[in-house]
This record gives sequence, C-alpha cells and structure tokens, in this order.
Amino acid sequence: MNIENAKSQMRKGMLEYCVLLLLEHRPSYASDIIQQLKNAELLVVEGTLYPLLTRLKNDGLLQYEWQESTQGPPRKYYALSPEGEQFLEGLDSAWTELANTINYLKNIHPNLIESK
Amino acid sequence: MKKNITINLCGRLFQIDEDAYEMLQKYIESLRSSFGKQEGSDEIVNDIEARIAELFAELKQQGIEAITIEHVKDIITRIGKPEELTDSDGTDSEKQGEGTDGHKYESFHSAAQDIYNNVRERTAGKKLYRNPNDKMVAGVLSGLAAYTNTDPVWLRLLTVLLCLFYGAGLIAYIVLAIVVPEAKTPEQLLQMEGKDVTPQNLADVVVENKQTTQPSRGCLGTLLFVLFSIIAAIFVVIASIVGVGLLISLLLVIVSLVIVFTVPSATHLSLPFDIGYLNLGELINIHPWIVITFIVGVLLALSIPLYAIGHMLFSRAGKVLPMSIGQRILWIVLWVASLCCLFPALVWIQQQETYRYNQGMNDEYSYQGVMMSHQDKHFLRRGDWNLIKAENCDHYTYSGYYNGNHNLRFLDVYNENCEEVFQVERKEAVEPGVYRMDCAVRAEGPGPCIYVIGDSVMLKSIPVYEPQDGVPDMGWFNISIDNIVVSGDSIAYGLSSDEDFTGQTCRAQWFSATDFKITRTGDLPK
Repeated sequence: MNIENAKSQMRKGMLEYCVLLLLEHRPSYASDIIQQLKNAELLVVEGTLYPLLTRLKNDGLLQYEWQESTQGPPRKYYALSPEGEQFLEGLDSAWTELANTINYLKNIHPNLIESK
Repeated sequence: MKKNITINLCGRLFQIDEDAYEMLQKYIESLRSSFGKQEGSDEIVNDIEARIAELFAELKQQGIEAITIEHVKDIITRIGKPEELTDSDGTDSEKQGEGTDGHKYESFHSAAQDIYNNVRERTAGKKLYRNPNDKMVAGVLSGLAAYTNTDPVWLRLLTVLLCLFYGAGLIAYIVLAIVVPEAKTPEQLLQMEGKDVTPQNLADVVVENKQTTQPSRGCLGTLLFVLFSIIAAIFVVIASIVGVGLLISLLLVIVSLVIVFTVPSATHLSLPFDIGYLNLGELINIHPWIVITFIVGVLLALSIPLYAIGHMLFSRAGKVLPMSIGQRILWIVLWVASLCCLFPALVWIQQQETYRYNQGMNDEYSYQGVMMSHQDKHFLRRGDWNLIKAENCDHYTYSGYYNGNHNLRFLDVYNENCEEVFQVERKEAVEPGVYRMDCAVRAEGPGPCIYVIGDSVMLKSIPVYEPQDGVPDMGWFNISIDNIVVSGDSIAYGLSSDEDFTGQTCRAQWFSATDFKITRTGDLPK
C-alpha cells in the first residue's frame, strides 16, 4: 500500500464531513463546492462530488433550490436540512474525539509506553 | 479539416468537433450505465452534464470557437472516468478492497453475487438476436452464446443432450427460434455482440459481412442449405394453406354469426361448425357476457394466427419488418388467452343447449312427470286421466284385440314380474243421485281393481283371464258397479293395482280397462 492510496482513503473518509461543513453557513452550487474542495486539495476528480451530493440529498441531509444565474441556466443551490445540521453536530463531536485521539497518540513519549 | 456540429447542452449551444462529440456522448453513456444501478442515477448524470456545459462555457469565454477532442479529454480527466466515480462512492470500494482478503465464510452469498455480476456484465448492453452469420439451424444458440458471452459449441451440445429428455431441447429451440428475431441490420448485429453502435463499428460489421458471406459453404454446407431451403419452402406452403383455411373459416364463422343473430329460428339451419345448434340467438338474451366472450374468443382465436401467418409471409417477402420479441410474446399470450376464453364458454354453451334440449324432450315425452311414449301421453291427456301411481310400468296404453276394433286404444299396463303399481282416476261432475258404472276390463292375474268414489269408495276386482283355445276375445269382461250413492256434485272412478289402495297384491303381468260409462239409475233415497 503506497502513500497516495492511503491519502486518498483518508480524503474519501473526510469528504462527506467537509462538504457538510462547507454548506453549513452558506448554500452553494456544485461548482462552488468543487472549487473550494480543490483549493483544499480534497478532491482529485470532480465527478466524485455528484454521487455524494445526490446521496446526501436522498438521505435527507441536504436540500436544494433552483436559483437563476446571470450566466447560463438556473443552478442547484445546496444547503443543509435540519437533519443535516444535527448530523453535522454528530460529526463535529466525532471529529473532536478523533482529533484528540490522534493528538494524544502523537504526543505519547516513547518512554511512557515502555514504562507501562 | 474536421466536421463540426452544434450541440445543445443544458440549454446552451456549443460548436464541437464531430469526433469530440462522439467521445463526449460515449462518456455520458458510460456514466449512465455505470451509475445505472444506483438510486438517483439520472440526477447525478444530469448534474455532471450541467458541469460539462459550464466548463464548455468557460472555454468559450476564453475565446475558443470550437471544442476539440483534446478539450473533451481534459474535461473527462478532470471529472473522472466512470470507474473512478463509482469506485470512490462508498460500498463498491469496500467490496473490491476486502473481497480478496477475507470473507470466505460468506462464500455462498458472494458466489451467488459473483454469478449475478458475471451474467450482468456479460449481458450488459446486449440484445438477444438469432445470429445469421454463425448458424446450424436458425442461429438461436450462437445468438444466445453471443448474449451470454459463451462458446456456442457448449450450448449446442447441451441442447442435443436436452433433446434426449422427451425432446425438451427441441421444443425449447423451436420456441426460441420463433420468438427471437434474427439480427438483420448492422445495428442489430452490433447490439447482439454488445458493441456500441458507432459509425466505425457499423463500418466494420458491413465490411466483415461482405467477407463472411462470400466464401463457399462446402459440400455438407450446400447440402444442408438446400435441405433447409426446401424445408423453408414447404413451411411457407403449409403456412399459406393453413392461412387460407383460417381465412375461409373466419369468413364462414362471421357469416354464420350474422345469420344466427339476424334470422329467427336459425337453430334448424345447418350452418358451418354447427354454430346454429348452439342457439346463440336466444342465449345472448339470457347470458349476454358468456356469448360475447365466446364470439370474441372465436374471432381472436382464428384471426391471430391468420395475422401472424400473413405477417410472416409479408416479412419473408421483405414487405414489412419482422415482429419484435415483445410483439410475438404479446400475440402468443393473447391467442392463448382467447383460447382460454373460447373453450370454457363453448363447453358452457353446449351444456346449456343440452339442458334445453332435454327440457324439450321432457315436455314432449312426459305426462304429469312420468316419462312415457307420445301415444300414451296423448291418450291420458285426451281422456283427462289423472295419473296417481305409475311405477314399473312398461307402457300405459295399448291398441288392438278389443272387440275386433284394432284402432281403439285402451288403458293397458304391463310388467313381466307383476311389479307394476298403477292407478289412474277420472272425475266427472254429476247431479246427486244413484249411479251405476259399466266398463270393459281384463287382467292376466288377480289383484287389479276398478273402483268408484261416490259417497264411499267401492272396489271391484277384475276377473282373471283364463285362456281358451280358439277364443279371440283376449279375456275382456264387461263388469259394473251398481248402487253408487252420490250426494255431492261429482263422481270419481278409475283403475288401480296399488296394494295400499285395493288391499290386494297384484299378481297380474298385465291388465286393461276401457269404456267407462256412468249411468244414473235413480234419485237419492229419502
């Protein structure tokens, strides 16, 4: 298993959380989200996002509305639904736990393990 | 120089090279088929299309007039190949990642899943046709082999083996040969093999066909070809004859039905297929739905095969396209359904008709609920006789041997074992008074009586006939009952062998009576 593969697995695991975070305070349409994720180097191929958005929407975590655009046809603007917000809170606490665990694991001094 | 076309993508127009367009179309199609199983696949692909339109619009803004294949390639790498997209979304990747390591305990489930996936994969995007380029008989098995991506040789062996089981393989083959259409156009050949219908592939098929149809067939091949041509010709001739027969039958049935419903008493006309005897004209008033079901069933059962044969002959002549599998199945189902309507309705109608006929026979040949001959019935009815008992009687009247007048009928009952139980009675309205009854009687043994009911019941046994040589009177006696007191307004008299009534056991094989006569002999005694 090479490092790229491991990295991509980590990204995949986080993608859902990141999308929900992006949409928490600001409804966006797909290209916006793609741009943001690309900036954060979370997305390799753009197409990955569309199945994810559709799945989240079908699970009731996201909702969308059509908004007119100055350039071109109307766009789908995605936003969190009330369930999505709850779900995000759950993910937030899970993330905090995870981050704590990682930090803890990182900061263990080799001596401490030996002493146990 | 490249040919350039204009496409409409999500409401916006773009100039695009033809090869670029083909690539794009292929990409979107492959997305559709790879998301196919997933929920909301249409939505996903539509969103991706919108994204492509956006990226095209960006290119346009940069001043690019026509989109080339390079642009499309860039966009495809940017959005991702179908494998990358479905792979990264949850469940599929887990299966692929872990399937190799463990999960052996789930072998059964995963094996079934594997077979299913395998079949799906092999048949994906294919259509079942008979293969005209590689056929032994009708190309069914090589078409099936192309559909399931297997070797036709194994399927052929399997079919030959199956023929050993009561010809199951043969029947299945014939059904498939009828139901599955032959791949005739290059498009159908491509669909049969699951290849995309692109200009390049079509050209390949056309070229390949030219090459494959040219080479000679070889000796056996020619022989088989001639044999099949002859069989096909015979088949066409038979089908035509059957078709003409069906057409004539259909016309006869229609004419017969028109006659049945327009001509009263058509029951007695001898119409084709005995339709007249079914008495539909009357039945339709009583049970309209069953008669309508029957008629519709008959017409469909005759006209569907007629249509199928006509269609087949026309399509052989190249005038019309052959039917699709769906159409063929639909017609077959419809035909079977019409038979399923027709036969129960026919059986029911025949039962009704038989019942009605029996009913008519009963009316014709029974008197007061007892079956008897026409003459017996008429005699009893004309004589106003009331049949009180009639068991084990072979007949009820007879003619001849009475005082030489052979045409006169009289009451006469016969049973070889003297078991007849018989009683008839007639009532006459009379003035009150005293009466006498005379009648002529005979009996083969003791038991039968004549009787009169005035104020009381008066019985008189019939004297037993004693055969004498050379005497032609056949044992007739004239007997009478006298002093019958009638204070009411009617008198009843009759003949009886009923032990319960006469008090005497009947031991006569036959007995007869006639010429009952009531005479008033005086007034009622004061």
